[in-house]
Amino acid sequence: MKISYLLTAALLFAGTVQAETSDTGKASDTVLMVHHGAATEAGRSVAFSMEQLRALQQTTIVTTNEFVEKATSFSGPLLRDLVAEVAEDGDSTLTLTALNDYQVEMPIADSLDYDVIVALERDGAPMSVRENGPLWIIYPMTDHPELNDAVYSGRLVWQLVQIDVQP
Amino acid sequence: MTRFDRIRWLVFAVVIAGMAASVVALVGMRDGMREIGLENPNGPIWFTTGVEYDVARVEGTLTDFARGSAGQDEVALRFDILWSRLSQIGKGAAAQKLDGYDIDVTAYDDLRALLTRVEGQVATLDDVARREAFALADEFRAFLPGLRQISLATLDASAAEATGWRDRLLSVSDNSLILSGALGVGVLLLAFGFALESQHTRRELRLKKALLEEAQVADLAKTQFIAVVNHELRGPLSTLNSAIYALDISVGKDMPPKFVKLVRTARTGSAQLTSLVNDLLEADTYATGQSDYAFETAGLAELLKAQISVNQPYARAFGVEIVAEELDRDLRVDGDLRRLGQVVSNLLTNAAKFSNPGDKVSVSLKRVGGKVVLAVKDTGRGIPEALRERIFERFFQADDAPGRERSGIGLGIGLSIVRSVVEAHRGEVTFESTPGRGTTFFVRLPEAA
Repeated sequence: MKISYLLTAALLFAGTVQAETSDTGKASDTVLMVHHGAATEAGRSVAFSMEQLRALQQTTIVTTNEFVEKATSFSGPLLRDLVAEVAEDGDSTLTLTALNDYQVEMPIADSLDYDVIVALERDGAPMSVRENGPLWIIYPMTDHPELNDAVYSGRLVWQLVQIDVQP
Repeated sequence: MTRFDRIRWLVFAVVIAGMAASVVALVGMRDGMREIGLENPNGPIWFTTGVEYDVARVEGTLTDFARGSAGQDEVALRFDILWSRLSQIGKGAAAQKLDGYDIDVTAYDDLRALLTRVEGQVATLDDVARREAFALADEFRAFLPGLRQISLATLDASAAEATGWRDRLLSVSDNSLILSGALGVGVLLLAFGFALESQHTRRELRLKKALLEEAQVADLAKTQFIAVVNHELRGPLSTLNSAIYALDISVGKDMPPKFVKLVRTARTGSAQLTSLVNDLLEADTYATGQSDYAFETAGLAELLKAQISVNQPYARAFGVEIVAEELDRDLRVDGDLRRLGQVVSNLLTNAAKFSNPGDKVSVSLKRVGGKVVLAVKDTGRGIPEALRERIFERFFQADDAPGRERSGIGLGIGLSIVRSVVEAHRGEVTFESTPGRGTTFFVRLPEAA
């Protein structure tokens, strides 16, 4: 698992502050970019607004994880449906990026083997940034005990803003 | 189980138990070590540095806002991200770990208080408040050294814990090393033991084989010797017999009585010698397994009568008379008549030999319990208790038997031949004997259908 967290932190302290274009106010604003290729490369991209994400088929998962205190209901589109928008044959890895530039890689296989969702709602209500929203990667950990492992907990990216689909 | 076996099993058990113990120790450590792995993105150290990072970004964004290069919405976003991180740090596995490290995290509480206090101010920042943002940035900046301390303390604690695990791992590894050494020594010992044992066994086997071969060679030599002796004896003996027979039948009334008596004595003696040599030959054929039988169905009474008259002269030489008591003429058996004749002859001469002068040896033939029973009874001195088990053995002689002095040569094979022949006829031979009162031999044979 590649983590560019420290690298990003170093860049920040060097004064390179990335400009953010997030305005979480309107439902039509872009909240998620699904991009083909490495984050820094040009490639085919699909932008999703909250409205568009809600229009996709929704899946509800009731699960616990390291970051919630009890079994909690999360719902949103399946990660694999979003990835399918840009994925090509031979793609195998996703790089997930959060609002604070936290990045983690996960194998595409995870999204095919398990019903991993990009949660839009927690207990039926949208999540604010303060509540780790608006988008949170959720694995069905209660239904699949083998997922209760630090490797998978590390992939529960909250405040998700970008998915890069790579070979 | 020998003492050696016990030691072997003990060594084996100790080695296995040691291996099991080290496996248990390693498995127990694995989970603990995974928890503190620095690569774990949810480990405590990532949380504490994450807070530092997000505070620095709030501070940086506030400074940018004050300089006019960032908007209020950007400040609000960074503020919310920091808020989410701070609320997360109070719960979950990482929070428990931090509690366990016993690190002073009051700076987090103070930071939470600051967020709550300036929340409204951040929400309402506008162009006229840009200078105010500098002061806010200073407030956030002031937290950075304290947060750094928390991170360093957490790093230290993690490192100390990792060192603890490493030490345990090292000690398990040391123990495993010692155990491996012990295992090696144990295996060597076991192998050495096996090698010694197998060498010992091989030596014993060789010895036994050599002894067996020696015994077989000796036995073969003996058998061959007997065969040669037989052959060498029978030639002259048959010449002697013919000559004495010719003498006997040509004895006339004009011969002196002393001469006649001498001829009779010579005839008895040569008959006895012939019988002995025949016994010897029979014993030899039994020993080499070459004996074969010609079975036919015949009455035993005739055979008994013939043998009585043949052996009568021999018995009379001991002053003993053989008498037929009760001979059932209807009893028939499937048998080799020549061999059965030998059985009867041996029993009669034996009985005569061990009788007292003037005694009678009585012979009877009856059917008892569906079997043909031939009995030869004498009133001699009987068989001593101590010798009863052995009288059917080949070459066995009651050495102190006074009978031997009177019987001349005895080979000690007569009864062994009796038993062999009777058993070859699916019969059995037994005896009843009372010391000083006499012996009766019983031969039981199946009756012919």
